[in-house]
Amino acid sequence: MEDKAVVEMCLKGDTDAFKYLVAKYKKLVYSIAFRFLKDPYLAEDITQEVFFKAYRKLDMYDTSMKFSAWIGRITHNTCIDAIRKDKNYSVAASEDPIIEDTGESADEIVVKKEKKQWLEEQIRQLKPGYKTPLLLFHQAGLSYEEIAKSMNVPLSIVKNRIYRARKMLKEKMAEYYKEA
Amino acid sequence: MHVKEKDISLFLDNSVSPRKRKMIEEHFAVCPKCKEKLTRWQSFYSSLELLEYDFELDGLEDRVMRKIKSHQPNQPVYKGIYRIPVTAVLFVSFIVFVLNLIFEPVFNRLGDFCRNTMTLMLDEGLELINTAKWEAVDIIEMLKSLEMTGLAACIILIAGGVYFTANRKSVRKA
Repeated sequence: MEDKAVVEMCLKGDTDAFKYLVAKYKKLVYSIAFRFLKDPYLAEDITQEVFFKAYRKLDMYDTSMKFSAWIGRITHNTCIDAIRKDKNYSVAASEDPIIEDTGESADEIVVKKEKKQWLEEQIRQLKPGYKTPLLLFHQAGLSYEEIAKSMNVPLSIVKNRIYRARKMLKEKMAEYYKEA
Repeated sequence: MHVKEKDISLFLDNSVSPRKRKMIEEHFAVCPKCKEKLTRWQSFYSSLELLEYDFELDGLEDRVMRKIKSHQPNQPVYKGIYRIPVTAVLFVSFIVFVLNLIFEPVFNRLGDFCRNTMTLMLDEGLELINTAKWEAVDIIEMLKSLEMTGLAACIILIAGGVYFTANRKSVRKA
């Protein structure tokens, strides 16, 4: 089912149709919120808040835009508002992510886990204006044009921000491997 | 001339024009330095794929839907609209009832007074009009009689005048 059709159903009063959109985009919303707030519980609260806001503003959704781009923008704004309200949000302790058993050796798992945690930390330290476009590109699979439209900024700025974010991470990663 | 870092990044994103893409590919084939840069960028891209995405979020849909359903936007709006007028109407009705109980005898007296005054004024007015009417009739009758009297007087005068004029001529002839 297409997202636009689901949105139309919701606007006609079929509230339950919105559940489909929540199921489809909850991981994207949570992954952005988690990289803003660190705390998985707060990220989950924010995820709920984002979908609640999206439902209430559904009549304002521009169907020429991808739903993932629109919800990504709401997530970005909601996270920034949450951090402004309570600055502790951005320094809360994080839980270790659970790594599934993939048949790798214990050393490999540990190295992979450390690398992943380190990368997550570096992404969290990025400025919101760099972090959200990067996540929308790599996790939501949006194009530069779609990100520019959703964030209401020129295409050149999106290209620059994603490039700078990558460059910063790449340089830090080079240092990390050098030290390791 | 070597490929810029930004162009390598855009190359990996498939965001360069076909012409530029061909040029970059040709350059990578002959430039080991740029090829090494490309390898580093590719390694970095594969690291980004390590980012956690498959989070366990069981039951989130249900929690969101519960929150949405418990905050249906129309319900509080309607409650707000109707709550104030109903209270106001009840309050005003009560005040009117109490005032009616207190002031009913006064209102009754006032009503009687108004009714009597109106009746009196109406009767007096009618009587006055009747009197005036009959007075007017009398005056008209009198004027009519005066008219007849005047006419008779005129005829007599004319006749008298004719008679005396004729007599005076006969006297002169004599």
